Amino acid sequence: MKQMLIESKQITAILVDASCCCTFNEYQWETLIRVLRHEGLLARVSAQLAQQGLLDDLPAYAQKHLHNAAILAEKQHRSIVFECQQIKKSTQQHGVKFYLLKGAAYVFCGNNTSWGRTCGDIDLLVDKSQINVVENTLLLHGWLADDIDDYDNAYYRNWAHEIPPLKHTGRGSVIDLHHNLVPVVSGRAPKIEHFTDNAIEYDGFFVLPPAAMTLHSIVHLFINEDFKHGLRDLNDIHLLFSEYNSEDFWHELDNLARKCGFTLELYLACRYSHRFFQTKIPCELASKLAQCHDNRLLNLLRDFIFSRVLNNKHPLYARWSNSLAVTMALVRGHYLKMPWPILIRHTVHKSYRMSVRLLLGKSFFTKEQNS
Amino acid sequence: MIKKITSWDVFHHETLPCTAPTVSCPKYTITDSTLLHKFADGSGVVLYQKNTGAATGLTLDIEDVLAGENMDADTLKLLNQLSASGFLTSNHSKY
Amino acid sequence: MMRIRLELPPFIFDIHSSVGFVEQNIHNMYPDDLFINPSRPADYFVGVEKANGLRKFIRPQASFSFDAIEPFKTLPLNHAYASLEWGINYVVANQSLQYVILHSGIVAKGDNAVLLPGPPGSGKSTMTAYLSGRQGWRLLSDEMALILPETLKVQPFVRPICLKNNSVDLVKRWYPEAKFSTVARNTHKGDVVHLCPADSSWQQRDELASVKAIVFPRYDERIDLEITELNQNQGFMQLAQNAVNLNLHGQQGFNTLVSLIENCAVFEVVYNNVEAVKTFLEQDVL
Repeated sequence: MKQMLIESKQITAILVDASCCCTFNEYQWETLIRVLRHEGLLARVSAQLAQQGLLDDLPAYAQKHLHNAAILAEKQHRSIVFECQQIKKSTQQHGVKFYLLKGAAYVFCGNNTSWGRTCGDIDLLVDKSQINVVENTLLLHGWLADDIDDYDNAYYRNWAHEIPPLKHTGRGSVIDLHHNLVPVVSGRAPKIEHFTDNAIEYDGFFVLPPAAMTLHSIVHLFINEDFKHGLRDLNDIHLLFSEYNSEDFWHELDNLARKCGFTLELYLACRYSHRFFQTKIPCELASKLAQCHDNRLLNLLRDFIFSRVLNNKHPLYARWSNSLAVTMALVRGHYLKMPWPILIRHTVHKSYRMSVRLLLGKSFFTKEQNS
Repeated sequence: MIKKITSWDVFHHETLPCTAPTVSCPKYTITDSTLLHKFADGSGVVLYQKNTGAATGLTLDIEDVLAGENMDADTLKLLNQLSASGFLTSNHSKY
Repeated sequence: MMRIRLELPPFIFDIHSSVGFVEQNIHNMYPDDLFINPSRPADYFVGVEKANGLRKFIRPQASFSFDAIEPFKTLPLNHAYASLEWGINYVVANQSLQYVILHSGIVAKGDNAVLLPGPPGSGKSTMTAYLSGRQGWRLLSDEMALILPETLKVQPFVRPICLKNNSVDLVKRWYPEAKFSTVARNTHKGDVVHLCPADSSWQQRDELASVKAIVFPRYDERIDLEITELNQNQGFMQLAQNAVNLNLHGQQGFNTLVSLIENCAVFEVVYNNVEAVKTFLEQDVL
């Protein structure tokens, strides 16, 4: 048994109240920084400590790393704003209405979730009828689809809610262009207007109203097979719940989830956000959701999976049951996204690739870089 | 020690020829996120785009060029390139 | 399984590897007093291990990791030590924002430093290796100059010097007593050997220096020595192309480069005679 300097629980406690780490010695900081960096949460804790004016009293070692993480996140935010402006400029003759999702949305509206939020790709939503014109116009301005194989391309075009990621040839920025919030193939794609109605404009871009923004983050986390950023994404949801907390907000959220068939996802989000971060969920909503979705056996299974895949995944905290949970989440995510016949085709294709990878090494499918 | 001073060719933009004015053009201005430095030795200016980290050296004084009314095709082409890289913005667009 | 903590000022690295020759090279390249006990926290955790996959039975591979994240493709096992050194550079370049980092060799005579920025093949490392071993000179880094923002001060980051192809024999002729690592064959940079810097460089590994000159070296076997003074604009553009994290530093990074250019002599030096370059630097520049 490895000796653990800080427990998983202490890490989630810090995400609720950053001041919890002020008494840490350098040893504990070493572990905390490793874990937070691994989870993409170092800049968030850094921002929260700065907000509370606590940075200056920390050991120099911690300050250095927290400061660097903050600079990196700030730079990502500046890049996002810049890239969005470039996108807008490139497509201005088409009068496209762009909705920002996830990280980019948080950054534009400047809510609490944006503080120190690490962002990779820029998630944009446009009307389905405009996808082609936007894609073609962005192509002219240097955003090209990464080389992907024919199977993956067909998968995106026929079954997904987005087109293959577009990468800028000069600057390397990546855009995920969506026309819906969940894969079309899942049969659960909502009428998109339910989400985009009453969107709020920031600098020429639209951000979904709080309840819709929150529900999208929830749906994105729970109808998925990849929980690489599970802890960060759940923490986003906790921050959204906490910031927008009002009777109207919860009412809207509940209504929207019902209208679009996402009450299970909302139930799971409330359950795990509360479990990890003690988020305050209105009793009325919690019991309403529990009525539909509380199931003792299922919850045992859900808790097994989600208490692990939503937690930090640094190898210091690795246990065999974690990889089992990751695999179960993978299967669950795929099952939610695809009907059986398509899922089987998908699995056969992917497992062929996996076995080749196993035999020949990871780089087999990576196209050689010309150097 | 003999210092042999030779010409040096790796450079982004050579001094632009001042030919007769041809077209009137959209008005360009330097964006908020662009920093400009004029070198003391008279070798020109450098522009730096804070958001992308891109830098470009110019042997001409860009502020003078932007203040000018009419410009030739080469200058316009240059301004267009600078605009595409986020150094300049034209009065047609907000950015 | 080797797990060590190396103090490589200004950083502390925690390094693990179970590849035997990696451990030997580390002990050969780094002086004993850099190995510290883990009571001080490490800045970065890195390692190089044999890669998984059945391919390992046919063509063994190694993989570099930065605290469980593997940023690169796997490489032939023979490149393991070189890829660890490159991986450490990668981590510093991406994570250490307290410095404006230039991809450049940097050597100093006393505390007067000369930046030697240049693309691969320019002879930057060869020049760095030569100068850093001469009387009175020392190495600060052969790959990255860590500049304190908005100053001319540079923090040494003393590490083994990465030599490629023909320069290995050349350096072995200049410094027959020096310690060299095992060879990594056919890397993307060619055959690569690391050279342990001279004792004086290690001893002064904590002493900052001030940049006095910027020299863009270009090796050309036909030309003994040809020096071109660059104007500030040319110098800036060349330097900016070698700036690793300029985009992260914004205004501060820009100011740093401007101040370097305006306060230093800037030359391009085409050479095949390293001793002539040294004489030029000592007599006309520093």
